[in-house]
Amino acid sequence: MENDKNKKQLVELIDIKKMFLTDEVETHALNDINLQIAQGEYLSITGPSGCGKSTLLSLLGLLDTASSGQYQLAGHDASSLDRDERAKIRNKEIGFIFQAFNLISDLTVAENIELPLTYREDINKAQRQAFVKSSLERVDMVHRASHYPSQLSGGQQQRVAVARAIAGSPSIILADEPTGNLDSKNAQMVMNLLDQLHQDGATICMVTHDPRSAARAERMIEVFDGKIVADQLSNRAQAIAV
Amino acid sequence: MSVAIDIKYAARLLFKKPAFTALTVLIVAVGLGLTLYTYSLLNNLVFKPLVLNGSQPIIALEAQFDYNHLSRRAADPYHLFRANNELDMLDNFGIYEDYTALIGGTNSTSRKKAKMYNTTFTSWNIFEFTGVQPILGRGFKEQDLDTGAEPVVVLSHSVWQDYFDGDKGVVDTMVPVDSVMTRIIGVMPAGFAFPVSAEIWLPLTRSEITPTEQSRVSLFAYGYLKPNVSLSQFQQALDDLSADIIADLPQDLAWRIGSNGKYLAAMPFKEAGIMQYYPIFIAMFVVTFLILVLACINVANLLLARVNERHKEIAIRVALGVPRKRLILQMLWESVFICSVGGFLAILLAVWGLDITNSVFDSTYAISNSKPFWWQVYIDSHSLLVLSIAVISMILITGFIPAWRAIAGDFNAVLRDGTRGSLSKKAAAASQILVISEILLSCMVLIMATIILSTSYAASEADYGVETENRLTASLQLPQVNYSVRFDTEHEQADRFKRTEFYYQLKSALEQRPNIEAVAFMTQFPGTGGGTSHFEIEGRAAKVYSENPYSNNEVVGKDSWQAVGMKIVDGRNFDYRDAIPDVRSIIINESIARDFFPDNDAVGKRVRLAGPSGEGDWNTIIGVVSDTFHGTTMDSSSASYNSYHLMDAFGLSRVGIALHFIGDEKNVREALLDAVDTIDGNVGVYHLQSYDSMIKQPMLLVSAVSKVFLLCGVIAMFLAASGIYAVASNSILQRTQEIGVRRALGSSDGKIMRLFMKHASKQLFVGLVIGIGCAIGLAQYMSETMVINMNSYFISVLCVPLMIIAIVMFATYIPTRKVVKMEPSDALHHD
Repeated sequence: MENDKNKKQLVELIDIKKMFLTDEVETHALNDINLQIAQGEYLSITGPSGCGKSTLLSLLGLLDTASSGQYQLAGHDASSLDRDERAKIRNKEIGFIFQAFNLISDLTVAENIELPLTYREDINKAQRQAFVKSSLERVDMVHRASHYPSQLSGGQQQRVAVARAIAGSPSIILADEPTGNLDSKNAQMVMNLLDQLHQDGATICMVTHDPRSAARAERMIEVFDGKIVADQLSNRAQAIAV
Repeated sequence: MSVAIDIKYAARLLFKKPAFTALTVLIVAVGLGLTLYTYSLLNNLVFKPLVLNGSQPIIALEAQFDYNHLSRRAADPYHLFRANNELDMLDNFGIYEDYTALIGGTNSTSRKKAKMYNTTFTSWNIFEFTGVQPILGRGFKEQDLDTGAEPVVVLSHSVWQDYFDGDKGVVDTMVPVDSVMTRIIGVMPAGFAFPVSAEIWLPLTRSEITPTEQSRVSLFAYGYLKPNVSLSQFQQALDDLSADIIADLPQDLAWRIGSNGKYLAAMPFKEAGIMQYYPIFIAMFVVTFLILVLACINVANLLLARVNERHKEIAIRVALGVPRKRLILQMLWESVFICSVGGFLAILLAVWGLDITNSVFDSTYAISNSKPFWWQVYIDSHSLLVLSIAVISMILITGFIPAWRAIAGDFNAVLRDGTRGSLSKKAAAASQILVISEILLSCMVLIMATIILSTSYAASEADYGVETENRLTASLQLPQVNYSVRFDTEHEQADRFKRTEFYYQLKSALEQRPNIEAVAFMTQFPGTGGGTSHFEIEGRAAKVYSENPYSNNEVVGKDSWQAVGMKIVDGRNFDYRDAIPDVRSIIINESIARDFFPDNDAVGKRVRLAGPSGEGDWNTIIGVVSDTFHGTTMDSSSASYNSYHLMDAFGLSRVGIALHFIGDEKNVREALLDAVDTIDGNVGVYHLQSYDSMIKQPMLLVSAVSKVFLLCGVIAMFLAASGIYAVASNSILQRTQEIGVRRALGSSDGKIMRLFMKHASKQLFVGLVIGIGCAIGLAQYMSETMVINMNSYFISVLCVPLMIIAIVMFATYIPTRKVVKMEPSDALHHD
């Protein structure tokens, strides 16, 4: 697919490869991946189990390093960063939404959202609290700020995770099967939330199994056997374009 | 069938990981082995009542324990009889006194040399009381106490074998006992040595058995409580009676009152004999119990870690519909196997330890032969019952908790995505408690072990202020019949000097021998004895006697210092001027002179004993002798302030002798025995040993106990180090995902390391504060009878926490570092 040349490129993957060595057997999880994501895009990554989509998302989120290839993120050459520099970029540029929510159980909802902000030195406490409040308002969870994750339903936990992802105003939100652990009602609610974020200008990259969720993105990427086999606008995006 | 499958599965899992299995079995064996050993030891020595006749426990009745001298105190037999008759709470009752007596001698028909044996003078009913009758001849009869009755003696099995070669015709023959021809009337069965370590029994006189008034005589008593009378009820009644006795006690008998203002005391018979060791035994029991708890935590943690590894398998089983009970039982099988095998090994370990302990007891009492007859430790049915209870408890603690934890999880979540989310709040709290408990228990055990070890080492290395090399020591006892003192008569003085004359004659004879340099006499030589009394300095009396200075008092012969390496540093030595009756001269040691006469003017000053019963005669200080230390440096009764009186006018019936010799010690032993024999063959020479051996003697038991503490310390260290590491690393591994989340959210490695180290520091703080506090509390309890070396406090309270801090920091740093080094994506999907 041709990207809109007027849009600023946020992510650029060039010839990315990822190999795993298990019991002296080399497994190619990703092979020659070339991908560009522009600012404000909403794309979904789909594919069968084991195709490498989660590995791709891990590489995009700097949670893992590629075996070879180049990765540019928001103007940084991510391939040459050390561990702490990668952590800084994750903190500032990326917001994560995980399938298993990954909230920390002994922190309250507000503390969970505040957590990534505490890793920044340029934000004081008052600012942090303002960001937390505004994030909670966006996901409609203000009334649950002092609760612990165990006191929330799955849908509510995922909304908190979304709030945490957006609290630091990241350049891109990476969502790994965000509705995978939710019932259809809560899944719908989370997807609506992502739509809303996108409309507000957020860049979102979502890995999903669910074709309906994938179809809500404006751009759909299909991965098979570690390769991108399709990269197209979704029907919804095409309809909007028309 | 299902049980068989479960057992087979548990066995397969254990064999699959032999290192894990061996480690857990070893921890269980060590924890249970130590517990079994300590319980058996204390049960035999203290807890299990002494029962000889049926099922009634024997109790001891005597005066309050003397904490100043760390010794039992006998009571006036008149008061003991009042307690028996007026309170009417005892079923049976008798009195006794332990002493030593010489069998054989110049009047003996035997060719054997006279030999000293532990002797109990006792009520005639002793054998009926214990329900043990002689195997040859008869026991005592009331008529044996009649005036003019023939003196009689009952022999122990060991004396019969040792001195009379097991001669079956020994009964009815005559033998000199302390030079008095005495008829042997019976031989007791092997092993019988009641009340403590008797080798021969002699009857007390009728006046002692049935006293009609208060006197200076002091005896101990044994008895059975009447049914429905408890020991505390009896003690309460004794306290009331003691108050009446004390109110009527004349001033010259006021010394009978204990330092706590009480007098008579009753206690289980075994406990009475080990009062000075009681706190250290209890401390040992506490430490061992803590080690068992530590072992439990370690094993529970290891099994818990395995449950964490198996959480997916368990989730599958739950999903397949395994009943909760069956799942718990299945998981318990592993614990059953580990704890049962550990329990069996524990028996072997305990038997080995008890064997060594019996050897230590034998060597401790080899010279005095005064080992209490019940000090034979072994595993009995009680011990096995305790072991069984401990094994079952351990199975429940180490198996049930992890099993419950395993099934309490959200199995659906586990199956759905294979991740567990971050550690639940309850699990996190449980991990924290485990780590804090490990820190706390390790801290207590290691501090206690370090204090005891360091203190006993310091005592063994202590400078007692004497030369011990090439010194032979022994005790001398004059036979009553030839050296009796006719008190309160015109002969008293002459009788006393007659006794002293013997000692000086012996000294003179020995010092003429070429291999003997010098001979000393002293009631208790430095390194032994101890015990303190207050003294008043003329013109400087304190308002209350107990605020006066105190010192240990010994009686010495003339020219005794040189033989043991002591010397006069000021004033003069004792000489003929001090041997005159009514002349009261005293030599003090340098410490007293330095601390109480700082102007260097001690010589010429006067001091006198001051106690609750009044003051003694004034003594003039004639000299100052070099410093020595009486008693072991570990005993709270030991003293560095020492005063010496000349023995001449005292007329001691027993005294210690030390010989400085050159050449072979064996020749000197023979020379001593030969010299005594030449002067008076009826005088007893016993406890022959080198000076070094004599100093070590009172510490042998404590040093044996300290070896147990050393073992406890080593085991605790192993359990603490491995346990803290395992618990901390398990707790961190369970937080792998959390670390992944934090890293995904942008935390740097350093921040995560600091977070975990800070968390560990908090656990350390809580664990160490409680652990140090409890250990100091326990040490204070031990210090009732033991002087805890200040260095050992310093070493233990500084080094042990430092070591634990290092272990915890290492145990936190390594696993955290390992998890932090994982890629966040791996950490997030860590299974």
